[in-house]
Amino acid sequence: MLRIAQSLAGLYIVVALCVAAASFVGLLVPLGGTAPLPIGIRREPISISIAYGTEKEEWLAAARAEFLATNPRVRGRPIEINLEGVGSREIVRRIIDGDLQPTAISPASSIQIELLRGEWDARNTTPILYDGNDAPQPLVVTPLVVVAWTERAQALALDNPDQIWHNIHDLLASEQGWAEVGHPEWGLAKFGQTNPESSNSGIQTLVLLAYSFHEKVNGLSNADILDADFQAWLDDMQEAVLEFPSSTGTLMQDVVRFGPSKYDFVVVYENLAIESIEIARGRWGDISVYYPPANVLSDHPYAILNAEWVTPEEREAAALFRDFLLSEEVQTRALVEYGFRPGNPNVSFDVAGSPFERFESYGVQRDIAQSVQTPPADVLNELITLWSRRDYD
Amino acid sequence: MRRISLMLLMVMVTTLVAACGDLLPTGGDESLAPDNAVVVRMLYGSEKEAWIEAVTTEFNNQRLESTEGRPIFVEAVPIGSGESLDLIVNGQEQPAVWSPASSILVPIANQQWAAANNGELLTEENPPPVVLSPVVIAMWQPMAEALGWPADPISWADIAEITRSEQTWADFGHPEWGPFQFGHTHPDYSNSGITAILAIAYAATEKTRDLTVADVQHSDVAEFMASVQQGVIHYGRSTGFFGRQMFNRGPAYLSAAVLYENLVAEANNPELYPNLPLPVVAIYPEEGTFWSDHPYAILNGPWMTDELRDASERYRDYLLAPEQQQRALEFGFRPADPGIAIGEPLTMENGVDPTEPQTLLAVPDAEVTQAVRELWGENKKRVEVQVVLDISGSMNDEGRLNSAKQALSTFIGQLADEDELGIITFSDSAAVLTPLDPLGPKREDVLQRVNGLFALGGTRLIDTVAEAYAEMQQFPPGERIRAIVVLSDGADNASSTSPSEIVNLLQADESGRSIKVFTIAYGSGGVDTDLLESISEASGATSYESSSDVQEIEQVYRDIATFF
Repeated sequence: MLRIAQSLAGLYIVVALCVAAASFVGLLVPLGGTAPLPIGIRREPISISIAYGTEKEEWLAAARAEFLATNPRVRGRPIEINLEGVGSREIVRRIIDGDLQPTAISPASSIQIELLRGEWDARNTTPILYDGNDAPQPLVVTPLVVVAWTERAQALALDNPDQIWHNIHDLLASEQGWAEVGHPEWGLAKFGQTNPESSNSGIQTLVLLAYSFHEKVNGLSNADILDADFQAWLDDMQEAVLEFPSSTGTLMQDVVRFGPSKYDFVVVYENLAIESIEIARGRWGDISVYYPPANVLSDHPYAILNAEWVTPEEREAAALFRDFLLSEEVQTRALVEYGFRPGNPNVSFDVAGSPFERFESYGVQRDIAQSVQTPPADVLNELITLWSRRDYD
Repeated sequence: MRRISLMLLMVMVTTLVAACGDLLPTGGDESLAPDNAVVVRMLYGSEKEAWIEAVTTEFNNQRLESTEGRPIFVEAVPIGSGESLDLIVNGQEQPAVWSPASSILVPIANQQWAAANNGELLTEENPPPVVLSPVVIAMWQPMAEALGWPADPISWADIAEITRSEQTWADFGHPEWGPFQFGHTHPDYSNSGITAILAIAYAATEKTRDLTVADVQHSDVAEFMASVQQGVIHYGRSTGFFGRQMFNRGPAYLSAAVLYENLVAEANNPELYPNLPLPVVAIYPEEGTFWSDHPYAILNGPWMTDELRDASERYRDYLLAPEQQQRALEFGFRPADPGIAIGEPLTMENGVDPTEPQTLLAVPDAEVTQAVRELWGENKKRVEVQVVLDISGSMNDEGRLNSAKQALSTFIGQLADEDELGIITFSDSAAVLTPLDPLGPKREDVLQRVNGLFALGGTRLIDTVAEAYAEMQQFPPGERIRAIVVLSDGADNASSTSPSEIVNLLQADESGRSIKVFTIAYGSGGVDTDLLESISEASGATSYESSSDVQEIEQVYRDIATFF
C-alpha cells in the first residue's frame, strides 16, 4: 500500500514538473517571438521533411527560415524542417519504391498527387492521402508560358495566341528556318522544353501540344496520341530541341546563359519567366511572355502523408507549416518576390509591386484563358512512352 | 590595374610552364595542403587556368572544414580536356572532379566508363557549367575585313573552302600576306580541336544538326576533311598554346585559328600582349558554333567518399558564387550565373561581340563524335619527322641511352604508317640510322636499329641539326607537317657552325609551315640548355628538359607528338 502511495506520489511529482516546465516555456515564448529557450530545459525537436518540386525552392527556403524564427512548437516541442528538392515526377516514383519517406510532399502539380494515389492504392490497403483538413491543398498556382526573345518573336509576328503553337511549329519544321521571315543569320529555329521523363513541365507541354493539334481542350485519348499525323507534327517540334534539361529551373537558366543561340522559344512556368525578365536584359536583351490559347495550371499541392513513418506530432507540425505558407503575408511574398499566383483564394492580386503590373509590357498578364482537362494516367503514360520511344533526346 | 598585372603574371607563368614542357602537373600546391586534409583533386581544361588559379588559392586559404572535421584543400590540375578524359577512363587518374572545356565530352566519358564498369556512369548526365565561352575563329582584323567581314558573315564552309582550294591572300587582293594559314588543336587532346573537326564535318555535309554516322562515313566527307587538313599548319596540345603562338608570332605565322572567345579578348589586352602586331577579332561562324561550357562534374568512381563528395560540392558552390563568377568575367569568360550582366572586357573594342553567337551547331551523339574523330585520324595531315639523337659517350651515364631508346620506340609507335620518319645519330660525326621516308614498310627494322644503338665519342650537335634542317628544306612546305626532334645530353664540342648561325638560319622562315625544331635537354650532365632553347624558340617549337627517367622522357615525346 505504501509502495503504491510512493509511486503515485512520484508520478505526481513528474507530472507537476512537466506542467511547470510547459508553463515556464509558455511564459518565455510570446506569440511569434524569437525568445531563446530557457537554459536547462531541452525538448527533443519534432523533425519533419518535405519533398518538393524545385521550381519553388527559393520561396520555400525563405518561408522556412521565417517560420522557424517564430519558434513554432507542437505539444511544447520545437520543430525542425528539412526541405528536400526533388523532381516532381521523381517524388512519386521514389515514395512508391520506398526510398523516400517524407512527412509531406509538394510536387508541382496535382497530376503527381493523382499518380501517387493510384500507384499507392494498387499496392496498399490504407490510403496515403488524408481527406478533410489535411487533404492536399494548393500552395501557389502558376500557368505555363511561352518565352521568346522579343526581336525574334516580333519577326515571327507571334501575337495571335490562338495560332501560337501552329506558328511556332511551322517555323520549326521549315528547312529554311529563320530565312522564312528574313533572318537567315539566325539559322534554323529552335524549341526548348524539359525532359518529360523527369520534369512536370515537359509532360505538361506535350499535353498542351496534343490538345492543340487535335483542336480540343478535353477528352485527350490514347487514340489521339497514337495518331500518325500528330506524331509527325510532334516530331517536327521535338527534333528542333537541341537539349532537354531535366528541370524547368535549369531550362530557364540556360535560356539566359546561352541566349538565342540555343533557344528561340521555350515553354516554362510563368514564375520562372517573371524571375528572368530583368536578368535576361543584362545578357542578351528582352524576352517576351506569351500565353497559350489553352493552359494547364501547376497548383503546387501540399499533401501530408498518411503513412506509417509519420507520427501524429509530425502531422501536426507539417500542418502548422502549411498554414504558415498559406498565410496572407507569405502568400503575398510569393506573388511579389517570386512571381507565383496565390493558392489562398482570399489573398489579393492587387498589391503594390506585383509583377503582373511591373512586367505587363513584357506580356505578363493576370487573365488566363481556359484550362485543358488533365488527361487520365494511362493517357499521360502513353504520351511519355511515345516520347521515349521516339528517342528525341 | 592590380588585376591586370595578375592576369599578366598568370599568362607569363602559363607560357613559361608550356615552354619548359611541364607535362602533367601534379597540382603545384600539393605541398601546401595541410596535414590530414581532404584533397579535392580536379582535372580541368587549361583554358580557364588563370581564373581557377586566382580563385582557388583564396578558397584554400579559407581552410574550410569537411564533414569529418578535416581541412578541405583543392588541388587543381590544368590539362587538355581530351587528354584528361583518356587518363580518367584508363584509370591512370582518379580525381574527385573533372571540369573539361565542354560538355561535349561528358557523354563520351560516360559511355567509355560504362563499357568498362558494368554500365555505371562516370558522372551525372548534365553537370552544371561554371563558365562559358563560345568557340570562335580568331583572325587578324585586316584579314577578316579582306574576306568581307563584318558586312558579310564568314562561315566554317568559307574557311574550309579557302583552305582546301589552296587559295592565298593574293586571291583576296593581298599578295603581300602570302598563304592562308589555318590551325586548330589536336582533337585527341584538346576540346577546341574536337569542335573544329565537328564543324568541318558539318560543313562537308552542309548540315547544322542531325549529323549521323552514315553522313560522316560518306567518301565525300573524307575527301573534304583531308583537303581541309592539308591547309592546317600543325596541331597542338592546348588551345591556350595555340593562341599564344598566333598572338606572339603574328600574321606571318597564322592567319586564323579555332580558339575560344576569351582568348581573343585577352589578345587585345595591351597589358598581356604589348606587341600584338594587329588587332584580332572573333568570328562567330555563320552556320553556328559550339559553346565551351566548362561543366563541373563530380565523379562516381570507387575512390569517392561521402566526405570527398561533400567537399567537392562546396568547392563547386564557391566557384558558382557571385563573387567568383564576377571575376570570371574579368578573365574574359561569360559567367555561368545568369544574374551577372556581360560587360568589360567582352566588348566590340576587344574584338568580341556579346550578342553573338546567334545560332549553334547541334552537339552530335557520342558515337557520331567518335566517328568524326576516327575520320580525322585517317585524314589528318601527315608528318615528316627527323629525329636527331645524341649517342656521345656521356649518354652511358645514368642509363640515359637505354631510357632514350625506350622512349623513342614508344614515340615511333605513335606515328602512322603513312608518316615519314628519319633518324640521324651523332657523336664525333653524324650517321643516318634510317633515311627520311615512309615509316610503314620499315617499322620493325627501325625499331631493331634503335635497340642496337650504343654510346661513344663527342657531341657534334649544331652541325647535325643544320644538316638535318637543310635536307628537310628540300621538301616543299605545306604537304606535310615538318619537324625535327633533337635530344642531347651535352654541350657541343665538334661543330663548325656557331650557335648564332643556326639561330639565324631557323629564324629566316617565319611562316606557320616552317620546319619546327623541338629540343630535349636530357639528363643532368652539363647539357647546354640555353643553346637548345634558342634553337627551338627560333623555329617556333617548344623546348623540354627531362631526366633519364623512362616515364619522363616518354612523356616528353608524347607531348611533342600532339603537335602532329
